[in-house]
Amino acid sequence: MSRPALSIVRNRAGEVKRDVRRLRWFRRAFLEQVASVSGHTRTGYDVDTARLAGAFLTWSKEIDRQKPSAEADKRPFVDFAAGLMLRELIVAGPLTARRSGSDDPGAEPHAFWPEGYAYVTFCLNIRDAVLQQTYHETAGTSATFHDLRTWWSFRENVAEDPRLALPFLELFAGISPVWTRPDSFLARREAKPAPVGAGKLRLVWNEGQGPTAEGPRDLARGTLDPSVSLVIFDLATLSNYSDIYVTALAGYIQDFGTSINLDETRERFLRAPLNLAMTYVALKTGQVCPSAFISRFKDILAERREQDLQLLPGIQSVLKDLSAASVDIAVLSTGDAEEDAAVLGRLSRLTPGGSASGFGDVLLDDVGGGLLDDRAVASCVLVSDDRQKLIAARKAGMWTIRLVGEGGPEKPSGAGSQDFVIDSFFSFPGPAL
Amino acid sequence: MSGISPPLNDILRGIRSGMTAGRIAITPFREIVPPPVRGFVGDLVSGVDFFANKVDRASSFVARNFMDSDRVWRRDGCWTLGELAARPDGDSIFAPLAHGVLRSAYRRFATGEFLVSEMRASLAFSQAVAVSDRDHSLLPVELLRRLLDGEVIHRAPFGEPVEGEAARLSAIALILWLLADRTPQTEDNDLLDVCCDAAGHIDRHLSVETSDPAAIVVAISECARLI
Repeated sequence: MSRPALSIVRNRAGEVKRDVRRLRWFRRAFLEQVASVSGHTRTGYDVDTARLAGAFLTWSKEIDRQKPSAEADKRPFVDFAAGLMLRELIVAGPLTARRSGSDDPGAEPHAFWPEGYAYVTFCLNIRDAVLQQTYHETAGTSATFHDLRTWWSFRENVAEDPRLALPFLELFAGISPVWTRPDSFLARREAKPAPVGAGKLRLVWNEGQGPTAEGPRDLARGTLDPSVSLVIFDLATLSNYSDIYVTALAGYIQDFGTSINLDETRERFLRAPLNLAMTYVALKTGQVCPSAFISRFKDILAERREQDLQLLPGIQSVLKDLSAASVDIAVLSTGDAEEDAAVLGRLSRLTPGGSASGFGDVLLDDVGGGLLDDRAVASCVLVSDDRQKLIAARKAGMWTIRLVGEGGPEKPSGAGSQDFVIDSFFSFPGPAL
Repeated sequence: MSGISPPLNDILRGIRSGMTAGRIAITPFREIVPPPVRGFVGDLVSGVDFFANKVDRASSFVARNFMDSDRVWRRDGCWTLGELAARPDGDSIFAPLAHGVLRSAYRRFATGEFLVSEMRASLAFSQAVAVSDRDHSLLPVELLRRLLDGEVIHRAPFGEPVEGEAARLSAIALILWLLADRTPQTEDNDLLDVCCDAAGHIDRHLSVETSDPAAIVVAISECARLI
């Protein structure tokens, strides 16, 4: 089924960007969209127009608050504004579909979530009209828009965190989603890939002394720039925790009678909300997961963590060298504060002396966070295996070191091409002495 | 409406039913139209331009009922709050205008019998203009306060007491309706519906900023700008 159209945008050629900021037009366009969706899907809707007005007014206020002034930001702001619109519609909930007993909730996205389907359709049509009229872009519908699995995930995730409406709308529009702080235009602007040549990575490394195929202990290590005063390690890069998580989750999913291998588990669920795994199991088994799905998995994970967590080889030597050179050390949170604290506590017990101070005193939750306020950003290094975090750090003016898995450094490409790449902590550049 | 064919009437009835309390029902066209004309309706669905125009016309017919009085119309449209305040006979124009708008708005928020007093509306307007003489920006909030304190919407003989929230929302809708800008293309048809929808948003401001008239004025003005 093609996406239901919105003809009112054609009647106002070139003016949708302005018109959509008026409640009277927004209301009429929304009602027309719902009528169009209703005609296509044969679903009846009740519209609470007071809630619709509330969504519009909240959206307008947020648009005014975050509206960028730079010309270069205006095009990306269209995508952002459409996502914000979707968030407010979902939060306000102006639609109630009239469901009948004969409806098959699993057949199509519009049957699975009729209200969400209408909201997404409306937001995409408004976005497309603005892009076409203002920027002469022809936007299409991504195949994801018709993918029921994405809709399962979409519905569950926005129920828990409405901000995720923004990246999901980007998925439906066929553009790269921004999952970190998605409702902050400023944050996502800073997370954009840095232009080629803007990074500082090459300065970290002594030219001509990159990692080789020789044994790690034999590598001629480069040195950190003498200006470096703080090294921030992404918590996920310090230990085998990611492997433990993936292994535990794959086994847990298999306990529900669904087979999934480690690579697929890693690709789908590492750094993703746990309820995505719930959605996956439900889709595979056709049964709703127990409400204790997440808490039971956390118990299993805690047990594995205590048994199997290990520091990655070479990290203790790196920490020792940095401490000897009076370089401060901090750890970057992965997002789940409770879980991070548990991992960090366990890792601290694994370090010589059993002190948490080996990993610094501060657990950061933002690459550009408050710890850096009184410190020159250019004196900081972020060590991570997460491209998005590395890009954010580079944009903030930090040095970056990217840790890659077994098999050696990946071929440099795209945004990651400016990271200094190491395949283990044995090839970590030593501090300048 | 006379130019609209029977199937379209059914469609529009489906869309416009349940207008009270800001609720609109939208029914799948194919379910409310008999089989012989489903093909025709299908054409309408694909040609939504035509359909949307018909919605406008139907809305216009419904909404104009509250503005029957010639007294409240200028040659080029309805008065705005600023224009009324600048006229020496503003209160006598405001009274019937408020009567029509408040009656229509209140019916949307509540059921039961009620009365709207033109005399009390006229008095509320005169007092608000006098009080805000030094600072015209305060006129909207002063008028709102006096419409409510003066019980312009009041209990009908033998009727149930007026619902306070409905009366408050109606008065807010009236203020927004008078502040919203109009162009030659403005459809006065659904403007009051839109103002009624937005009234709840302002009402929430009132509940938290009752002691700060300036903040309420900003909220009302900003809301009217977006309408």
